[in-house]
This record gives sequence, C-alpha cells and structure tokens, in this order.
Amino acid sequence: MKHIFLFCAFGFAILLISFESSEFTYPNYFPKPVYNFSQNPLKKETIQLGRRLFYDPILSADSSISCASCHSQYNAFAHVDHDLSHGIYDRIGKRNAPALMNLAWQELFMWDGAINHLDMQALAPMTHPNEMDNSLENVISRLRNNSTYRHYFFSAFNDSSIKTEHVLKALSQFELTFISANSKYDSVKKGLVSFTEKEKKGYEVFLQNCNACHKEPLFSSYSFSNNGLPLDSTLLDYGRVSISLQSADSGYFKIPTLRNLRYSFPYMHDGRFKTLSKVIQHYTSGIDYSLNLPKELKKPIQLSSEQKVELMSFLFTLNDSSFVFNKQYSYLK
Amino acid sequence: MPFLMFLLYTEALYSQAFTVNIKPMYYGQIIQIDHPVIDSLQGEQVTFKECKFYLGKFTLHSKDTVLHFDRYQLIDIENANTTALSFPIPPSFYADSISFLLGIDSLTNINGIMDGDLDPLNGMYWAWNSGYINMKIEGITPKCPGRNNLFQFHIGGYQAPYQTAQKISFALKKSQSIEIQMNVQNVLEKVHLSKEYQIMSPGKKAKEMSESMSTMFSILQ
Repeated sequence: MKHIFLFCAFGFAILLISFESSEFTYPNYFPKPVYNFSQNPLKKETIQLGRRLFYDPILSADSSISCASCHSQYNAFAHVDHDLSHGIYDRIGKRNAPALMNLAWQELFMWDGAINHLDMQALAPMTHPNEMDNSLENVISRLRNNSTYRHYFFSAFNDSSIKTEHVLKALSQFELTFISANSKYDSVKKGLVSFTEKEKKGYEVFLQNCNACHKEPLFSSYSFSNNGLPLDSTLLDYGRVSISLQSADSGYFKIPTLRNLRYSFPYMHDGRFKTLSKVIQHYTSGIDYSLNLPKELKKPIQLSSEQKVELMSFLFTLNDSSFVFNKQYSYLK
Repeated sequence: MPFLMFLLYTEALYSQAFTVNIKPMYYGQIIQIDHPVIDSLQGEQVTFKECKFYLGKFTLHSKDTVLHFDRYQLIDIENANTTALSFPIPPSFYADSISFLLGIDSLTNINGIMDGDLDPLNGMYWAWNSGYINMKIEGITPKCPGRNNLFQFHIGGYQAPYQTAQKISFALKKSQSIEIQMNVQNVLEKVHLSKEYQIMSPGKKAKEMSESMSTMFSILQ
C-alpha cells in the first residue's frame, strides 16, 4: 500500500513539472521559457562556473565588487535597502537593482529593456562606470591569467582558452537556474494547500486590478508600461523611450514581478517606496493622471482599507523562502 | 532549394575561390590609418584613426547557381588580413552578380553572444544598449570642431524604424575576383564635419549616415 502511494505521489509530481533539462524544471502552469537552451545547453559544471563568476569580484575594475554585491540572494537577488544601487568607489547609479528570478521567461533586461538577450546582460554592469567600471578586455585577460579558472572553463566547455562567449554563457546558465516557483501561491496551484479566506479575497482584488500587467503565474507580463509615478526631477529618467526612441514609451519601465516582494524592497525603478503599503497607496491615490498612462490605469483603482489588507495578504503568498535560502545559489566556497 | 543545400554542404571541398579585396578610399587615395590624405575639393587634410566595419551575408549569383555565405567578417583596414575575403566556389563558377550586407542584420543582433568576428571583445558592440556597431570611422581634420579636431562615427542600430544594416548589390561581368572600393568621401561630404562630428548611438542620424554609407561602394573587376 505504501509503495502504491509513493508511486502515485511520484507520478503526480511528474505531472506537475516541466523539464528543459534535469537542471531546469518548472511548474506545468508556467508558460514555455523564451530562452533558447539549444544555444546554451545547461550543464552542471557550467552552472557552477557561472556561480563562481557571479560571486567573484575579479569582474570589477578594482576587484572590490561582484554581481552579488547588488544582487544578493537574501533579497531575491536585489540590492538590500538601497533605492539607487551603488557600484564601485561608492558611485551611485540611477536605478534600483532589480530582483533576479525566472529570467528564462524574459526577453529584454534592465528597467528600460536596453539589453536584448540574457547572454548580453552581464556586459552592461561589467563595463558601466557606476557599476564595475571594467573593460571586457581586462575581465577576459584576468580570467585567462588565472589557472584555476582555466581549469573550470575546461570542465564547462572543453576549452580552456576563456572566450567572451563562454564567460557570458556560464553566467547565463547560473542565472537561468534562479527559478522561484515554490511560494504558497504555487502550493495552492499544485493543489497541495488552500488560501485562507483573506488571501482568497486578496487574490480576487489582484485579478481585478493588477493581473493585466503583473500577469500570473510569473506575476509580470515582462512588457513595459507607465505606472503613473511622478517624474523624479533629480533623475529625469524617462525609461524605455531612451532605448526605443518612440515617444509613446516615455515614462515606460519594465513591469517587475510581484514574486518575493518581502525580500526585494525598496520598490519601483528608482526604489522610491520602502514599503508595500506605500506602493498600494500609490496605485489608489498617487497616480499622476497627466502622464502617458496605459488603458489599465486610466480608470482610478479604488480599494477599501479591507481590500488593501486582503491584497497584501495575497501578495505575501508570493514570497518563496525556499528560493532565497536555496543553497544551490549561495556563495561557492 | 535541394541544389542550394548541396552547395552549402560541399562548400568546404571547393579548391577554387571567389576573391574580394576591400579598399577604403578618400578622393581616390587609399586610406591608411595615421597617414594623412587630402580632400581634393577643398585641399583639406584628413587623417583617419580608425576604419572598421562588418560585411556579411555575401551572395554570389551565376546563371544557374546561387551561393550564399552566411557569416560576417569584421574588416579593420589596419589589419591587411581582414581586407582580402575569399569564398569557395565550384569549378568554372563565374558570378553575374553579388550582394552583401554592410552591418549586422536585426536577427543576428538579438541572437545572444557569439564568437569570432562577432565577439564583443572586438570593440564593435554596445554593452549598455545591446547591438552591434556596423561601422566605425574616426579621424582628424582641421575644420572639425570636436576635441583635438576628432570626428567619431560609430554607426549601428537594428530596431525599427532606425535599422542601419544596408544591403549592397552589384551586377558583375562573369567574375571570380573583384575589388570593392569604398569612397568614404561620400559619407563625410554629406555629413558636414564642421557641424556634425559625433554620432555614437542608434537613431535618426545613424540611420541617415548608414544610408549615405550605402552609396560609397563601387566595384572594379
């Protein structure tokens, strides 16, 4: 009897997940990833190499900061408690370092979508003067002069020559494994637990008011929009328009996921809100209606104080502690 | 189509080659880095400091055969190895026409990281706004008001409506070897260096310059 139960449980678990490889599984209610794994097939050794690189300050000009400096695991790979992220020499950038998760479902990266492929993403922070202030030439030559890295690259790619392509593909591989799909919401989706009454009501509020842009189950459509934030006159950041050069994109930023909000504060592209209640307050009473708003926001969102509490309790079900404490993502000793 | 596939497959076996020599010129003078050349209209001196560009997707047509070469090559006129291109052809193939791209097509631009001539290490990739630089022309001329009289054109951009890759085509007289001259004066005359001397991001100006770049080619065979 016990065996039959185990067998059924195993079969059930198989039904609930989809595979790209044994290193990349995701729930069956997730859409298909957009990342082209055939160009960069995941491999244990390559993921581990990416993990080493992600935590290694060798990538920054003075070897002081690593990717993890602004993308710490305990903050769902966002930058703890900084509105605008700081990089090398205490230089401050103009945006909030975004949380990193479920990257295989995203086509464009950065708040303005300036980066068109996950593999190209790491070039930007490595070379930006306010981030790692390094040059690609310097990164490659430092890695080539490091015999330990030559060994790791050989295990990963059967090639110890250390090419740009391999550095970036290894970083992508590690980051692709950042799958957050184990929150209470996910357990409810899998039929393992149920929402409380309050969470269920909050889910209704969410579906009516938020889901158009923060589309479940990833909790973002990963497109761009203007969410009515008044322009910060000290930053004058108009977002996507600077990349697309289309005036319709003025004030548009990439829609962030609502997963793991507990860990990834502060919120918005410039980190202007420290708390979730401030964010909800913005949507109900802070939107600047003179801006270039999408149709979803043109009609004011009205929520009673009870509904706000319910919405918050639903949003808490999107926190995934197993993601932020997953040892596979931590610093490799 | 099956015939074409066959040709692609056997490409490596051909011992004959179609050769293309690339020669950037300025008013009839061959451009060499750090060697001044003269604008024969106004007598002004220009010293080119950099001239790098991508050519790719070469297609050679003969009466009954089409040969397509998918790869991109980075031409750097400072490096003579890069200015002579060679394409394997079947015996007694003579091209009636040739076409190629100046710059990288949009699909390749969003394909992720690549090696060789497309490695960002070649300095022809924008890290902070993804995309290849199709062509870099830099130089010094007295009338240029930029710092140290330097003009810098880094032309790229693959997103509508500001795509900058340009398709170039020429009819040929049954050739197996050609020289492509690039008459850079066409580009610099059009832009008026006393006013416009720096274009280094995608957009309207880059697109306009890419259009004038498409007029600078001529063929000797």
